[in-house]
Amino acid sequence: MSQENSHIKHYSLSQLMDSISSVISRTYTKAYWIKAEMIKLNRYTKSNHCYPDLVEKEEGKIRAQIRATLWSNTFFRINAKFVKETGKALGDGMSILFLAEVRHDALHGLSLNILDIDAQYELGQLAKSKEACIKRLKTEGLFDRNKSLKFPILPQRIAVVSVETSKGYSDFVNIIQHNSRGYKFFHMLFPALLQGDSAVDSILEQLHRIASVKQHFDVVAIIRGGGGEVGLSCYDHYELASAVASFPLPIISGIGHSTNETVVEMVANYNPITPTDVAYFLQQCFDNNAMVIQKMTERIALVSRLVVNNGEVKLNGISQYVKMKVSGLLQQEKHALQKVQQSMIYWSGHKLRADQVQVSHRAKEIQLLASRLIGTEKHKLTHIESTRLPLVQKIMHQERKRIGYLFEKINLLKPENLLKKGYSLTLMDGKPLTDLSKLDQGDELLIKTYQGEIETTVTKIKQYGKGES
Amino acid sequence: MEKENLKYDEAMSELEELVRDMEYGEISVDELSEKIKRSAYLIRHCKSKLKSTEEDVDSILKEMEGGD
Repeated sequence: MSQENSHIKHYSLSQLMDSISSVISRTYTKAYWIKAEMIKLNRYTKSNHCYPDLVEKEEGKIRAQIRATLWSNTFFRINAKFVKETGKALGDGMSILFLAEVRHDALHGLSLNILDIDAQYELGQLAKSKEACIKRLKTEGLFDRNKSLKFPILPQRIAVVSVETSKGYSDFVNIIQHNSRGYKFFHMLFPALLQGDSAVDSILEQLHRIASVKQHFDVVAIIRGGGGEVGLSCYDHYELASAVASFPLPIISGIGHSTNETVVEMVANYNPITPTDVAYFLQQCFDNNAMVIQKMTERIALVSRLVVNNGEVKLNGISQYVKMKVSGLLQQEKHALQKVQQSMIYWSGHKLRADQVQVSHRAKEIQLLASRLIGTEKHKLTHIESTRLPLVQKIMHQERKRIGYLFEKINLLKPENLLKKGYSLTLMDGKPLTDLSKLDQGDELLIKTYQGEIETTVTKIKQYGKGES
Repeated sequence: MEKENLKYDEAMSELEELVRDMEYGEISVDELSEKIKRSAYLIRHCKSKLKSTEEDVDSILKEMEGGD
């Protein structure tokens, strides 16, 4: 059979390969923009040439794949542009839009030679995955979880995820260890890579370690600084962001971006952005506490002063109240008395005056009447005097005269005088004898004369006008 | 007063409640002196917490290693 085989038309491998090469170069004359996934960059550190593995996946399965070449100088140029525009370096697992020539040669077979990679497309990809990450976190209810953790009143013990040599870290430590108020912070470094894609796993590992001793810490701080803005896209990774969001301690981020906020910063409990601001923030928390304590001291002092004062004041108040009430009552009574007094004075004065007036009035009236009467009587008297008196005098005179006559008469009629004249009084039985009819002869009679008495007996009676008996 | 190992936030909330009691409650002078003593203790405790901490890196490392 081998004899027959040597007569079949055949080509050498190189002939075939060269033929294919020429066909390809004749057919694919230009460079084409192609979309694919760069699974691995495969950069050789010595030469800096890259040999990316490119695939296209459909429903998780590889639909197409090819090897590519990216020569060092092209790589550097593209990479620099990439970093400048997206902040991210070329690396594994990127979905890229690239410009490439189709190449084929006998030694290496078919490949694509990358001439350029579109940074904008990458940006779009990054933005898309960031959006997807945020959406996923929100749907899973993780987005606000770390933010909803209650920030400790005294964030004294800090687990720091950082790099010992980072300037951000040293700035942070400087401020919290040398604060002017004498506050004491405790911090422990958990070293990790802070940029590039490998940062994701590195930080995740440290977070895991911290979680195992979380009772020793109050907060976690992720500190990065001084390295520019490259490699921050790791903080948009879902794994890292969800670990931060669901972490059991509050996480403070100080990773120092200046443009877009990364997802990790969005889900962190608090994001002061720079390491120094993280340190000042923690110091501020302590200041707030010192202030609150001071305020408490003041409030207590005030209250105790007040309570003591209150006691005093109450006592004072009671005594004042009593005093006031009593003096008020006294005043009232005084006032009332005064009023009564005044009204009495007034009314009595009034009354007195009124009475006085009346009295003087009456007095005047009486005076008037009296004087009138007196006047009248005076007048009467004078009248009498002037008219009656002479009359009276005359009458009196007349009477006096009469009396004088009568007196004379009486005198004359005085028995003595009669007796003297020789008359006598004849008595019978002690009674004067006037009725001769009652006389008999022999009756005893007593005759009273001026010189004396004569006892006699009747011898004869002669009654004038009657005869003798 | 026994030396309790009160946490800072526990001490602060007890303090806040005490002070509020004193300010708004009707307390006698005797109760007041009690409360003041306790709040003075709490204030000292909190103040000292600001300036000291007992955590130690080595013991934490040991604990982590032990756990792993």
